[in-house]
Amino acid sequence: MEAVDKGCGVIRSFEESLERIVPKLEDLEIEVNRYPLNKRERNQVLQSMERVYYLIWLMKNIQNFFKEKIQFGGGAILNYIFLKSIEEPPRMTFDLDSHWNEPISKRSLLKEMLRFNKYLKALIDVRMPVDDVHSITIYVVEHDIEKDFFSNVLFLRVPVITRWTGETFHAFVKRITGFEMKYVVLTELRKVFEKTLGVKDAKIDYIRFEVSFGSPLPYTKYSVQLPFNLGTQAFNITELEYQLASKIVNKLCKDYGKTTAFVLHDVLKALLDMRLLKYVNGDKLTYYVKQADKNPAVLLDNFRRNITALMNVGARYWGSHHYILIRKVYTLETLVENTREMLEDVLTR
Amino acid sequence: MAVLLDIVGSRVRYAVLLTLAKAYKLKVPVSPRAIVRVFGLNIPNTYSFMRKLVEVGLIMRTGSKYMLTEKGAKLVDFVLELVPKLNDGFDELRATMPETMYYVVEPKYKEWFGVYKPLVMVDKALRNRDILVGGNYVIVYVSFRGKVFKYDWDRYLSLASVEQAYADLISYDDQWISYIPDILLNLFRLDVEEVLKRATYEGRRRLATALAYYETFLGRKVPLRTDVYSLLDEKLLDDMIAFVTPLLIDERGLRVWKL
Repeated sequence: MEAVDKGCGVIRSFEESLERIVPKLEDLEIEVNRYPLNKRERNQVLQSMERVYYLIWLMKNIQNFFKEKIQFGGGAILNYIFLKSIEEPPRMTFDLDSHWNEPISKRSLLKEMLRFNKYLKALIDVRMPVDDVHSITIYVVEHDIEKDFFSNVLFLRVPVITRWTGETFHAFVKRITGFEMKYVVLTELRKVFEKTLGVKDAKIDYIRFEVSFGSPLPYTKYSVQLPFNLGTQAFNITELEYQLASKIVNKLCKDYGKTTAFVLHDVLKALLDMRLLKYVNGDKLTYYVKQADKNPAVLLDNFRRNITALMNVGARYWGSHHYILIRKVYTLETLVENTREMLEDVLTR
Repeated sequence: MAVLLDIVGSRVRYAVLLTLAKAYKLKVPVSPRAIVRVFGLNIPNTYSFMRKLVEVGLIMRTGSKYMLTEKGAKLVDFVLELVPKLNDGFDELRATMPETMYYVVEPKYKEWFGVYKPLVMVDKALRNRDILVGGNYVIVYVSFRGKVFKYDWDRYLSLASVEQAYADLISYDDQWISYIPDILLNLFRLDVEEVLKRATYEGRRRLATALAYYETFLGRKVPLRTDVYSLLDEKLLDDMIAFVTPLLIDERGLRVWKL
């Protein structure tokens, strides 16, 4: 009887924490309703939006905690913040790129993440029961050890509870802890999930993010009205012109030689992000491209070659579910043509 | 080796006589419940034997405990002469300390080569008594309330349970961090919750910090009742990361992590 009472306490506390942290379906739907989608497409985008919600939730908390120590950049920022703000449809991207603003090592960064975990734990405190008394803490950062291949990038992830994507909660618990959940606990948790999420077999998915460190990158502070009713937040964001210049030099207009076929998906992603070109300071962008010490004529040649290769296999990548919202507005040919014009302008200044 | 055991012919008689003889020297009474628990004895047999000793006037009751009478004191030298000697650095304990009032703390899962100095936990009732010379071990006086230890019938010593030992090591040993990898690499055969429960507040914070780092660094989860992130002590993180990281990663990881 005592064990059951204790178990109820743990379950109740878990339910309360879930009510605070999981995104409301209505908030996800508001974002999805911005796009003209049929029912099948709408369902798929809705499922993706749940992860986007967590990505932005995580970004907000990282910035709040680390303040001037960190800046954000990359696809998530460009698509969910900047392109969205100019009514351009985002490409769906599910990881968050950030850069540490001070000299640091991997081990020191891990220490920072442990401090952040303590903060997150105090903020939301999500402990999922695995039996009457034992729990595991989720919604805290962990090292993504399988992806850790680079000495100047720390790969991280945060396990979160979702409605649709990821691993069923009991399978996750078994894989991570070796713990087989008892039927009575499964039943109780399913009730909680049904009440808070609307699904019985909730999933646990990873929200991935990476922190690079090393040379300082230029950044600007932006005040951003966040989607999903997550409020307004000031973010340190790597200068847009720097980001786009980096994508031009290192992705879109790079000479890949014989390996072009292996990087075409990256080329496509960079091409889609170039929709921002017309909104940035062209002179500044040109400055950053020139800083990379590349010949503009060579870059344009590389662009043409990469795009030709992309168009030959374009449908394969362009048809991906990541680009469903962009396909509603643009054809690949239109995007290529628009980008070509803007690039020629920037690279021939 | 255990001549006394051969002579008295039973573990109950051996345990009761040995403990009472040593306790008499220290002028402290002994609880029969403690004798039963530490030696793992049959309860009715133990109480029956002690009743007989009371009946013949060899022991007397003081509250809920017992001690030898003047008559019983004649047994002391005989019993103590027959105490086993193993020449392993602990004979001083075997000769002087009632088995219910001390225990030896040793790490059971050593993930390292090296020589350590064991802890000997002594009931704080014996503090300031200058009983032990020590030298081979570190003496720590603590309350014995709820401590888990057993008499080892091979080594003729009271030894801490595995969890009690790690709880004491991370709480009282100057080199506590050396024992953290033993715990982290043996989570599958240790009751970590029990270690946390038995440790001091300082020890709990040390282990909680280690567990939080373990989870964060390896992306694994340890099901616990204790909230390790709330106990996490930021002051310990530098040492913890420096000491523990190389022991948790494989060769592939090491190439990246030593940079």
